[in-house]
Amino acid sequence: MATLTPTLTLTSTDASSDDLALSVTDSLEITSPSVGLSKISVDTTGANNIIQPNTDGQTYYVFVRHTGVDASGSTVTTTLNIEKTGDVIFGKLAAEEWAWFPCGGASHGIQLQSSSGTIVAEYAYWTKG
Amino acid sequence: MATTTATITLSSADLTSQALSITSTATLYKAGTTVGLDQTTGLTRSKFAAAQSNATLISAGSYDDNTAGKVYVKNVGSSSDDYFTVELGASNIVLGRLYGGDWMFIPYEGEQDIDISSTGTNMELEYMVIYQAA
Repeated sequence: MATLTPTLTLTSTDASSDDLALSVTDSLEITSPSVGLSKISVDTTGANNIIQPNTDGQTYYVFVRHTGVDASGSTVTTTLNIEKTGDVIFGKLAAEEWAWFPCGGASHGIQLQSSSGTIVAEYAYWTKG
Repeated sequence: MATTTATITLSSADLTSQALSITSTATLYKAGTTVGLDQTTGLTRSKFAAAQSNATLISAGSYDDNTAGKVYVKNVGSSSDDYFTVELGASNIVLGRLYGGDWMFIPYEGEQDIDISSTGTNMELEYMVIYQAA
């Protein structure tokens, strides 16, 4: 079984009087299927942009990034909704921001939706082994 | 102005025939601005003596709506069997499961509670919200 290592580093010298320097890592056993880093032009209808469709009992690890450009390559500042299928929004990414989270174990996949126009997003997911 | 950056690295030597290495860094700004997020709960650790069911971890009432916060949650245990289920809002829609050592980092608008359920006793997690003042 393959291993995926996600690492998060959070840093700030002025968010509080004590410097923030958080680094965490994990070692994930991964099985099929996986979807490597992909690009999608996201429109304003979430159901058109389902990036992780599975609704079985598996756990999937999902990466999503707002690239900061639209389908024509122009810079955008609109936000990218991350939603459970069925239009349950749980967060919005600004340009260049990313998210990492587990999904699955219930009857919803993951979809993306642009707040306006199109947004090119990057995404990938891997299945827990 | 506070400047907080979040970097993710995803790496694997054996997922495919080509090694995987993805790195992305974001500066965390207030919604619609280039002003850095300036509030944080600090890193908080919670231990649950009993298994939890739909327990509120992060209360939306503590944060302004339609903002650009970020939430970090980690299951600090090591079990590959027990897990926390992360849930969204009053309907407790399941986002996903955090097994021992797993973490997540997501945007947070401050509009829905984030709840957790857990499968075992004496499970621990840590979490932090980075957010913006009104």
